[in-house]
Amino acid sequence: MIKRLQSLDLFQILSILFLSLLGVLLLQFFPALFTPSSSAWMTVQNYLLTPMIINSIILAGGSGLLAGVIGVGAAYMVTLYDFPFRKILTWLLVLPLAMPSYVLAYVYTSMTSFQGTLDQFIRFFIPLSQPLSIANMGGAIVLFGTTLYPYVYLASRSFLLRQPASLLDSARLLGKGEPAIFWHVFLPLLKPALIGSVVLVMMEVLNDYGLTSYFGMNVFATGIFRLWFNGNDVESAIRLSLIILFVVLIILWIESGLRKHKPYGYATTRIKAIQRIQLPNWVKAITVIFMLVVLSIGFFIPLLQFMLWFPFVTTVAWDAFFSLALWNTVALSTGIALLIALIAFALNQTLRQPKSFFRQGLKRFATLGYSVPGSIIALAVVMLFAPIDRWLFVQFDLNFLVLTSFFVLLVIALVIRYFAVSFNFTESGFQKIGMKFTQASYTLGKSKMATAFLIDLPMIQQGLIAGTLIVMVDLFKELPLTLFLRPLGFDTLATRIFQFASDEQVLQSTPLALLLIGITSVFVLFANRFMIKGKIDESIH
Amino acid sequence: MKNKSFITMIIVGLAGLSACNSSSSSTIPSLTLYTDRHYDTDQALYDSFTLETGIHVNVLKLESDPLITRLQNEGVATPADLVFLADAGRLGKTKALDLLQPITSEVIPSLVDESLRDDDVYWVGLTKRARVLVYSKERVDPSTLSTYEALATPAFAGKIVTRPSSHVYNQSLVSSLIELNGPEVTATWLEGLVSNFARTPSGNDRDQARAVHAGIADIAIMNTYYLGRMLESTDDAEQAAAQSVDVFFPNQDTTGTHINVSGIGVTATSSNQVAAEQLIAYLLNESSQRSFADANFEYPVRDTVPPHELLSSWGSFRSQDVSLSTYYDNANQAYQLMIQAGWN
Repeated sequence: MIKRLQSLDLFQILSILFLSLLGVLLLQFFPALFTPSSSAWMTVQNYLLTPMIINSIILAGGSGLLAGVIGVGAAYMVTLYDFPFRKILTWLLVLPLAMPSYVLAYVYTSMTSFQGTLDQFIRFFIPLSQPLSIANMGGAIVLFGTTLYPYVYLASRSFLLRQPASLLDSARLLGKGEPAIFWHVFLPLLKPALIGSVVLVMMEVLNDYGLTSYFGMNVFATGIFRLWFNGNDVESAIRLSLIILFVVLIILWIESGLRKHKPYGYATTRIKAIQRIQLPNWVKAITVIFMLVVLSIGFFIPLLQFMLWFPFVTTVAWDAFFSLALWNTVALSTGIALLIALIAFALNQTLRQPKSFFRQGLKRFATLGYSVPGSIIALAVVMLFAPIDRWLFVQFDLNFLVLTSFFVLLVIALVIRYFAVSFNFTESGFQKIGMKFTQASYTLGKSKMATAFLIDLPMIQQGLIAGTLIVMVDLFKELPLTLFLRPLGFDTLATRIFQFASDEQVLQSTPLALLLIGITSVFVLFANRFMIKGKIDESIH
Repeated sequence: MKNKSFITMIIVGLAGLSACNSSSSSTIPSLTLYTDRHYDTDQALYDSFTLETGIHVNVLKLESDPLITRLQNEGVATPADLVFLADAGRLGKTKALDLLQPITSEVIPSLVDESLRDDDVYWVGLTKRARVLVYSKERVDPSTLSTYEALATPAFAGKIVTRPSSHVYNQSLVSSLIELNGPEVTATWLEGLVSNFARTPSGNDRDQARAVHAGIADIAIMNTYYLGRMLESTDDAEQAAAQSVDVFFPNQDTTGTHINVSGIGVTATSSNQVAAEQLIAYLLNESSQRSFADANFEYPVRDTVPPHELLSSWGSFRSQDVSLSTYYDNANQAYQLMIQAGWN
């Protein structure tokens, strides 16, 4: 045993630490199942639970479906056909990913309210009998669908780019019409990438707290905070967490069932690129208009609104926090994204060989954090570490909370929350390269570490970088965990924007919002480049 | 080589993070204040306190309930010396969780009317607001308005908007009505009220005034100061909405209008009690009270400081005769009744 422990390398130690931490965080939930129900829990169970589950499923399902249709449609059109502005639209279409959902919620609520910009604009053309309303299920689905579809778009496009033109040419030669080619040739091929990315969208939606709480929706993410904070009822919050985990596991189980597919391989590695063909003019027009509408809802309309607000920003909003919040956002996101990349690389190395059911299970367990609402992660991290933090304070006669102050709680929560993204990119990289090169390196007498960094890392770097960039985009936008677990005096762009919104002064958050959208846009575009260049589509599992 | 540079990058990243950490053991006297208020004008008051006394004020802003949970989790180790919350119910919760210590100064309680502070002076109100009916000037004859209770009658079907039940302002309103009318009557009232809602409750208080302006509803239940802030807004739409409505103080002939406070208390574990009470006294002085009133349209708690002209123009009103402590005592029941009535 001792000998085995001594022979552990850095990667294995890191992996064991990470998995044990996850295990402890989850296990501490179970005792709450055996405590008697509080009256608050009975109210939740009798009045809120069923609608909460139904709402969550409708919201996630609807958003996933909308994102799926937009994402696949857009990816298919830009890859197979030619139409005006195709080139510029190809990369513009990823931009909505840069738009935080809570910012959309604030902006659209303001714009659609009576005499808001959008309301006035529409009334200019048609007299509205009913005022606009966005703060409802339909509005939420549209906003999520039009900002999260890039996940599907990126995965589908990257997948389509790797398909040989011969497939398309044969289908056309055999006299299939273009719609039939889509339905019978490409859609079945796209299925795994499509389902994976749609589930990713659904998880993002289930996780969202900013938009759903602003819209007053009764869903999982808001339910946990409601019980934990409002009712001060930790046991009930845990109970609800376990129910949500159960629902999420069912979704993931259905997904893995749907994704089972025969691997399609090609005898040649020389894949002829697809030649784009011209479409009839009316189809071109519809395509471009459709894409512009989606882009406007998910990106340009909110952006335009902020620009219109810009002149009304009072000097108060340009406060000293501004530059610090920017630096904090960048430093926190960079640090955590790199830490996640390291752990993802380590865990992939450790669990790579030999393939077993147990190892696969551990991989899925490690990535569970992405599938559960951030509120559950916050609850678990606080339950475990707050007592330790207090103990350290008393034991060592400190004058500050060492774990909180040194970002330990926040870092752990964020790493767990976004680990899956980076891990899956890395995993698909490892799957592509197989073990040949690694084993050759071992045979030539190179150590495990040297092989990992000199052989494996350069070969999977594109996936790792793309994954890290996507994680950074997520981290830039992150709100609830940072808000709750941040040390005293630490503000990010997101928390500052939230404060303005809480103060019912969304307009004043304009400079911060523009800055945030600007930075995330740059990173989204970078990620896009890496994914297309590296033809990475296995972003999910 | 790659190994090294990779790890170095991470270390640099993390070091960068801890460099921004502001809690330090500096020798400059400082106070740490946790608050759910986000107003820039509050910060201006802390800044002038620092100028006057040399005592620095660190501020952590978070919504009220997460803030209390955080305080609870930090326990003995919390850096907080003061808690400043915008709802008496949440102040009551903080006290009930043993997170506050009584204020020892004899001057402070004498500055604030008994009805606007905790019975045992664990916290004192700094500003006051009323939760009123805001109605459309165009569509509502104010003589048809009377009480909160009357809002549940069929006459108001489809005419009322307010924010979700999860918000403390609504919970405290219902708590006070439970105190006055009892839980059974309140439960029936809630059912009637909810059935009169013009839409599923959403948004914040300002959104409710906008909904009235837009014709979604005729009457909004909201706090007074929001209207003042909307009238001063640089956003034309907000101004227009605020100008289209007027304020009605309900229950003037019966139990009085529901009021609430933003109040402050010293944390149970604070060892800076003297400085903390110094800040409280500062926020209660006439010029600070003037500032709360002028910048944020809140009613001052000091009798000697008149409210903002706008608020004066609405006239004086009779407040509910309910102890603010009951807002917490009834909060849980209030929330459950609201949920049971279908107030989301």
